[in-house]
Amino acid sequence: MPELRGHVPARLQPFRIAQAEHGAPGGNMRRFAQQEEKEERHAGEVPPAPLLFANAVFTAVFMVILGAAFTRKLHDVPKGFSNFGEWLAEQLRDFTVNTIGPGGERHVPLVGTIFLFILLMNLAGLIPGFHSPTSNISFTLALGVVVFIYVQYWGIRAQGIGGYLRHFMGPSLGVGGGKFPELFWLIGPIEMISEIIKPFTLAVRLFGNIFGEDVILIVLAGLAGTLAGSAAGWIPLQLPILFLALLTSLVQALVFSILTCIYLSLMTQHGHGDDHADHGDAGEVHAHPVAH
Amino acid sequence: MNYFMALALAVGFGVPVAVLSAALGQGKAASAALEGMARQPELVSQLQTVMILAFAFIESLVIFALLVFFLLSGKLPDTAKVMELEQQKVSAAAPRAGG
Repeated sequence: MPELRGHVPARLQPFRIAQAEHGAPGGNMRRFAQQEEKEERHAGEVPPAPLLFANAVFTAVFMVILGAAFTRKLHDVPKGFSNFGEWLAEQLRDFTVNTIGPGGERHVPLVGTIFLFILLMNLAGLIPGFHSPTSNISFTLALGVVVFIYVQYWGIRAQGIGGYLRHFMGPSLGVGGGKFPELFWLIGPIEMISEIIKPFTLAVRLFGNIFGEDVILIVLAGLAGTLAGSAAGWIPLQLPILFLALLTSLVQALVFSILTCIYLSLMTQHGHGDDHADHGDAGEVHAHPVAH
Repeated sequence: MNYFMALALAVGFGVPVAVLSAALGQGKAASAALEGMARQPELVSQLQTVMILAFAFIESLVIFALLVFFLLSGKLPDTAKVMELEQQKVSAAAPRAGG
């Protein structure tokens, strides 16, 4: 992500201000014990957006540093750390190209970035002292809007304005396209609404899962806190949920990325012959029956 | 029916109904995936991926219900205030019943 390098100093401003305002982030358990803090934030309160933004920027900077570390010395046969980086890149590329089809290589940067960014943001909430930016609807909505704009742009670019508008007339295999223009009034609004609602469903799905996990963790940790004085006070009741949260973080990042790939493949589906030689590999995740 | 009674019932029944339907749906998806895996063991990893994907979609509908729960549970009244109101209603009804 080269475009972040120029902006990092400006975006670190809110990070410094957040640090000064809220003190060092100490994690929920410490805040549960300290009832007096500058802004009287107790456990169970959602972290304010600037702090989450600082976490998001930290995650992005971490990804850039990781990328630089992976590519520091490129060997023909990589080993160890850079091997892991290349495996990761290969998996992201294969996964994107398998879902979208032969024209999918140009979408690998976006889908790979979205997958890794969401994964790291989700996992950040499980590290004491950090918060998941994705537990705030604003961040997930921003991701959804980015995907929406990207998908619409590539839809228009792959099919032209006419083809893009014709896509709203029905499933792209020509049921409504030109033969029964009256059907547009039936299918068109539904298609348009379902297109507009895509960023919202993406956002709400990710937000609900991550925020729900956070709430469950906080409730169980509070429950463990009520046992604090007794003999059973050392048991971390939220531990099983932490393992479930690892799985949920991974699955939600995967689902967001797969949906992005599917929306891209739907919008660029009947592109021109050079893009789509065959749909063989993408067969298992195509929503429409492939008639050609 | 009292507004708050209806609200409390809605808050209580919203998510469980969603969870029930999601459990049925996910059971169907899992059984179909397992059957496919039993018939063609070489497709296990692909079927597993699609199964997890299907689970995430079905679960996200439950998450929508959870969001409505969060919205509505913010509108539930404070317990202390409700007890106060009940006390006022009882003390307002008692003189009338006696007289």
